[in-house]
Amino acid sequence: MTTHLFASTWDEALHCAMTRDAVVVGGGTSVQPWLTSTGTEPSVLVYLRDVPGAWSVVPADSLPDATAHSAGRLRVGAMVSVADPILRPLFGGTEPSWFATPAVRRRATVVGNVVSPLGPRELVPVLAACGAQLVVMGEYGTRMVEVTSIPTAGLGAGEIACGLELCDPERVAFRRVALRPSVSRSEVAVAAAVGDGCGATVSIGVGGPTLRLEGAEECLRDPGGAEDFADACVRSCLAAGDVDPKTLQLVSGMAERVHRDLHNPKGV
Amino acid sequence: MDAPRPRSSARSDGRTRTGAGTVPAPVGVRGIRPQDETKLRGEHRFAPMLHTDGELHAVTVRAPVSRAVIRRVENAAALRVPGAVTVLTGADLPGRRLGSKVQDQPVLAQHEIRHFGEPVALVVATSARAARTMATVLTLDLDVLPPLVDPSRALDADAPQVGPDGNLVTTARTRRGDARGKQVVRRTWRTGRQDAAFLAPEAGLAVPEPDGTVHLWVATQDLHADHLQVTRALGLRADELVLHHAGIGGAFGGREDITVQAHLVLAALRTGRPVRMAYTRAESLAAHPSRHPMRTDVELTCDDDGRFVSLRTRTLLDGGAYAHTSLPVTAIVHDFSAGMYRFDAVDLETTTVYTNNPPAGAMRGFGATQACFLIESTVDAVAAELGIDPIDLRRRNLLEPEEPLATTGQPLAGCADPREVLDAALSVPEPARAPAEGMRRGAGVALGIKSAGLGHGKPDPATAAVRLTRSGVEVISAAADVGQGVDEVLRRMVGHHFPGLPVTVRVADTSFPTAGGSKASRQTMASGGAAARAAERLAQRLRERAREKGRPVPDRWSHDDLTALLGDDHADTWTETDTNDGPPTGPGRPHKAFQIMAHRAVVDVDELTGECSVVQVVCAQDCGRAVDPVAVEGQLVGGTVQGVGFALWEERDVDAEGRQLTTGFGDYLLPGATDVPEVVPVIVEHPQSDLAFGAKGIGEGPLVSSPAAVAAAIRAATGEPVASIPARRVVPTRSEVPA
Repeated sequence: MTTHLFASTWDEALHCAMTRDAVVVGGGTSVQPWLTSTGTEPSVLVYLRDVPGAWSVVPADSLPDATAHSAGRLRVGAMVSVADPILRPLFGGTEPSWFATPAVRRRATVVGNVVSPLGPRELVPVLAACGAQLVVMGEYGTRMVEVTSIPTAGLGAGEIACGLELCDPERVAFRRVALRPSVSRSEVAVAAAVGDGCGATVSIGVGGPTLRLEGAEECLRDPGGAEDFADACVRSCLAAGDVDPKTLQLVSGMAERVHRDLHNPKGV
Repeated sequence: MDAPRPRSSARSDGRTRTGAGTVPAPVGVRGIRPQDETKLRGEHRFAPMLHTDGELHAVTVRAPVSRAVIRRVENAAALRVPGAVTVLTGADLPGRRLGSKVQDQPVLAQHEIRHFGEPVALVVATSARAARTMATVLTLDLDVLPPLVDPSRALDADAPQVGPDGNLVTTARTRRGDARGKQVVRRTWRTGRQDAAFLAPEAGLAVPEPDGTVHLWVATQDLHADHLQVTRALGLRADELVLHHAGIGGAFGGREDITVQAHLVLAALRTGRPVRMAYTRAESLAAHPSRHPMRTDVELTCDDDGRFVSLRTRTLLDGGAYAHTSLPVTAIVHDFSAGMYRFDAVDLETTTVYTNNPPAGAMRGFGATQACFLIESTVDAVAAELGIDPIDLRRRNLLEPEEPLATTGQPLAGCADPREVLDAALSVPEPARAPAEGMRRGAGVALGIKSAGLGHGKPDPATAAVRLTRSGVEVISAAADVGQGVDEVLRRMVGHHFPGLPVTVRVADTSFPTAGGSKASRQTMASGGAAARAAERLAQRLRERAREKGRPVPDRWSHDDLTALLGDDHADTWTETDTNDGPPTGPGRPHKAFQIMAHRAVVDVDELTGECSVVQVVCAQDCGRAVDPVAVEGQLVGGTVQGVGFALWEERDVDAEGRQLTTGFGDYLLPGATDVPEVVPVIVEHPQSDLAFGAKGIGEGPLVSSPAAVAAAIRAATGEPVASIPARRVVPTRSEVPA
């Protein structure tokens, strides 16, 4: 028998999540199919939809738990959906049409996508380029985790993701390669953002890690820096391990396109 | 007999009617299908929605490996699950086998596992959740063995034996002439494991009756074939089982073989209670056969001017663990491997083998799709090597009407000149919009041919009854309307003989004679032919009655006419029944009719990423006569899109151990709405004189040549060989590699 708990505060949600085998439900687009297809019956399903602030995107430094690091950043609540209009600047002014279906985008949460162990974390390259960090609560209090560093198995027992902080970029560009333009997992992705705390990322392989480029800000701002940016992406891939030449070629070409998009924005 | 009706049935128990109260549009006229209204409203009750009071729920336990010896099925834990009713295993049915052509498939695996996903046990419980839990905790004690997954190794002496008498399912050979041309082109082509991917997964409901009979509601392509298989496998008399149609959500060949049927009836008999099953998507993808994967080595020789001289093929089909429909699929691949081209000499060999891969079987196109990819890709390769325009090369070598096909020798008759179909496809303007920056555009054509009807001398009967009452006309048929629109075809063909009268289709169960399967693009010809002949006789009787009573024969009949002519008794009905098995086939004419078609595809390929975007596809097909033109166009568009999916993405992935990795539409990539290009259907009408209204089946044609055309377009855009489909993402065409 599964107990359905609708937490009304983060403390209550955290308390519920400490129950053995509790599963936290945001939008439910990954959890519900998993429950249905596997017949899994966790003892507790913890819903976040009634927690105040979970649906909001606000300046991070306006929150009670703000730190010095929060200045100029945005806090994305745990229930904010991928289709939320306020997030459109991250995706070139529109919904990320490559992400699932419109119905799923309306329910799937940004936080859920970066933390769920159930599916590929397709948003991570874009979010990481914007310096995104996950806000994680536990018995110990609150900690920030880079979105590229979240274990594939998800958060630890007794932890709960209550939001995401990211920079407010001036410009963002993103390109991905997949078998199919939409509803198909990314094979290679390159993202870049310009603004304080922003940068660039490369992701290789379906469900593969997202690599954050170091020191790419200058070539991203330089309209003539496309080749340097492409080289930086390739170097980053090589530093991460063996990558076949065709993939490097793809990364290089996509990086050039991302750089072009960054300086001639027309939508992601 | 009357069985308790399921709470949610649709087109099911012999009392359901389609098109009730409406006068059908005339043959050949654009009009709506009134029976589709429930689908448009979301009110159509598909088989997974079936329930009845007191039902039990069954779940199949499937093999987790592709080859093993079953030491023991440990069911104690499963039977301790609250709500558990029973566990059935192969030991409950020793030696019982299923199979439409070859009875080689156990109802439940006993002693050995031959493929991943093979049914090993059936658990039955009072709730679906309890049944799923039982399936989870039931354990199989297996001795896992190395599987045979490479079909090219199947006939090696040291290969694991999968089939009952070795690994050869069948081989077809044709050899005629020994001429050879000066130019020689050799290629190897491969096609993948496409799935039917119908939208409503397999489901059914079996209800035992006090008199010992069982009534089964199921979504199937062929009630009577299922009835024969299930009664034979379970040792039942024919009158102990009645099958009824349930709402069918697509088929495409995937419902031609047995899935839930025997399990449901077995469970109902053993428990004495109604039993329901509904597969998940993952189970559906593991349960029904796929298209046969093919590898073929082809040699085509020709003169310097491109005149074809000889064709040699060595084609290998992976039949998987059981025979299913591999015998007739092999015959179709073989028969159409030379396409519609003239050759002085042919040396063709088509072989299907058993492996431990998931079984292959019927799938829209039924082998003609693979054959088309084989020959049309080879023709493109010849054109490229000789520097001849591929369309010109085709025109030089296409058969003339009445010329014999290079494989079977059957004259290309009863259909349009293939040049006419090709011209029809080419007559549609290519897209005006130029490709985007960084995209390379290519256009490709392919010509296809497939039979309609079973052919090869096989019995292919369809029975229909037409009944006239004072309220109108009723057609009684067991034909499965899988979405292709056979009900509307029957209404229109019958309505043609009764202008002005409403025509209703009453869907029969297995207590009515067979309509044959909704397969092989046959129902328009088979059931349509039977219904048309019965209607013609009935209409003649009505006209004679009118003359006897001194009434004029009207241009359009009315209810007043029926009241006057059928007598005062409200129950007065006239019925004519007809069974149609024509046209006859045999050694000189192996096929009843030919579907011939041409596709032209325009594809943009991203020169950096290799991503393919299909911009436009034209599908021109000879339909004989388009009885319901809107439905025909729907078939041409739908089949073409399915072909785009096969060319680019659709594949059930199987790993090196024979385990299927594909579990749903997240990894089995169907074309989505945003992926569908502009598809232009072009109907070519060349009535076939020995078919009712000259109309032939057309359902498979659009999926015969569309994959080959898309592959040809990718080749034209990239210069890449595209030797295998699905092509998925072609390799990037840029040459430079960053340091």
